[in-house]
Amino acid sequence: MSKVMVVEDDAALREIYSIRITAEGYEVVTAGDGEEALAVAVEQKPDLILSDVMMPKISGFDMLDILRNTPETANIHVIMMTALSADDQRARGERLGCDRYLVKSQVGIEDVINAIHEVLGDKQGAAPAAPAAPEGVPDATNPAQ
Amino acid sequence: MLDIFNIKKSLNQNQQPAPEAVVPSMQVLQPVQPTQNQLAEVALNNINNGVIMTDAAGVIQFINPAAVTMVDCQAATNAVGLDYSLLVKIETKEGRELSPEENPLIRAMQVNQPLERYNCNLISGNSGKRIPISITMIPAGDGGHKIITFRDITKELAEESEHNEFISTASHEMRTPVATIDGYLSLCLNPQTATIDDRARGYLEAAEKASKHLGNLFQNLLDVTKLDDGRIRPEFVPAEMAGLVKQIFDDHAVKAQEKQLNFVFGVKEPSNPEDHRLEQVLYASIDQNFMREIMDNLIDNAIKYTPAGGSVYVNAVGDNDKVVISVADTGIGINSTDLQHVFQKFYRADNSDTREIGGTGLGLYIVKQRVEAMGGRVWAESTFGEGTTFYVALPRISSEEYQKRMIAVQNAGMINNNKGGTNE
Repeated sequence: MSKVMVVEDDAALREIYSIRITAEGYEVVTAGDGEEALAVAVEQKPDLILSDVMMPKISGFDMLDILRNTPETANIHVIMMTALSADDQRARGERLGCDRYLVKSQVGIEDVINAIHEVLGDKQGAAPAAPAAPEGVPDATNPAQ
Repeated sequence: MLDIFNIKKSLNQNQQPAPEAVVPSMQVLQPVQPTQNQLAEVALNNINNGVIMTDAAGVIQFINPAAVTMVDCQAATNAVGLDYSLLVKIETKEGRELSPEENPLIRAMQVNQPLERYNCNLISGNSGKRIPISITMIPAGDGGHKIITFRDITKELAEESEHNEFISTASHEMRTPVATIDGYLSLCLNPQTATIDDRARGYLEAAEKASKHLGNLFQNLLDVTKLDDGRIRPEFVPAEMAGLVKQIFDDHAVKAQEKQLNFVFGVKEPSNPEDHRLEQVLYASIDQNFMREIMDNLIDNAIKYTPAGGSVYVNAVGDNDKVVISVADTGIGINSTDLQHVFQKFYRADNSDTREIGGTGLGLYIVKQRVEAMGGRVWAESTFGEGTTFYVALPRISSEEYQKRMIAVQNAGMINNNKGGTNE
């Protein structure tokens, strides 16, 4: 089971991403800012980090730079999420070595999930099987209405 | 004369006198009634708006003190007898130089047609100071005289900017809770993360739709105000337009396919069927992000308003001085009344089709704003019930010019990268 770290300063969004990613069968750890993320990354060794760019203390870009220059964390996959859509910002993220750069206004949570599967190369994983089983659940509750 | 002087003084003290404030001083004047001409002169000499009158050829015959101050020519006598274009020099409100062909004042003067309130910068005298103005031109009387008026709009712009900043901050602040609502709704609706009954699903889907709409609205409001208040400015880079448009076109292919549309890069009715698309190399100097927003909006609209089985054609062609990009659809079309207004903020053609489809009412306004910021023009042609074509015309540059600017951009890029390197 791959381990995904969610780095997001907004507690509600952190919870939303954690629940959704857990549902894909990943183990999820979280951090509320870049500084905490660096500590958790070294301790937990996640396979992938999903991180916001605009965060207090250490920004996502600076965090990425430090991750890449630290031997223990240099190879962790990183997906950056940001409200900054400008091409130069994207170029900066890519230069610093992030695997994906997603603009929040352009992608939904399901796009983020797809990106995680693609980056980790487990596209055929739990995704097709999981929705099939719970889909019966709403139907089962119908007669009770 | 003394009495007129008194009027002058009273006008100076209160530049916009209420009618009742004028009446008492008029009564004082009873013994010597000033003529209408004298009154007109007092008014012209004291208003804050610049007024210039030229003859049919554009030679200045009269200039009022406000205009003297604004164009900074020291005295009216320095101006009278000069061609207006030597004194009334304007550039776009973004600070871009206007060629004589695209200068609305010069065009209006040449064809002797009125120019209605055009917002631009006045380049003042030798100092080159820029004053934001709203300028008009009115052909006057049979003698071919022309009246140019201009008003300093610095204060209005400051107020507008404050207003924009408020909208922009508010939109930004509201986007975060909307994203949270969206996120929790998607958890509710995903069978992997929650269990709900069919009725709840229906309600939550409706809530999700509204929440997405709200999110788009805030995003669009942010996009609009950012350019209005100058927080973003176009960053011009030379680009090959046919390739750029094709690239954006390709990104929409999946969506068009999902809606079962015939999605074509090329002309609607090729005059020569074998020559479906004339391969042209089209260079222009554009802002990449603006181009992306413009094309995304136009192509998204075309896909949205065209029923399954219809067609969407995206094309880029060029003539000597323009690159013309078109997005044509065989959708529901726009009637002629609505067509005049589609580029206005929050204007939405009001019929059941459009209500069903939904949109923020800002997409085409953003398109127009972005196109104009790049010195281009956007327009639409439509037959109701048959389809719509949107055109974007941008100034074309020669391949020599393209090479020259490309080198300049690369050099600037190297400087920036070096700077970045030392900072990190």
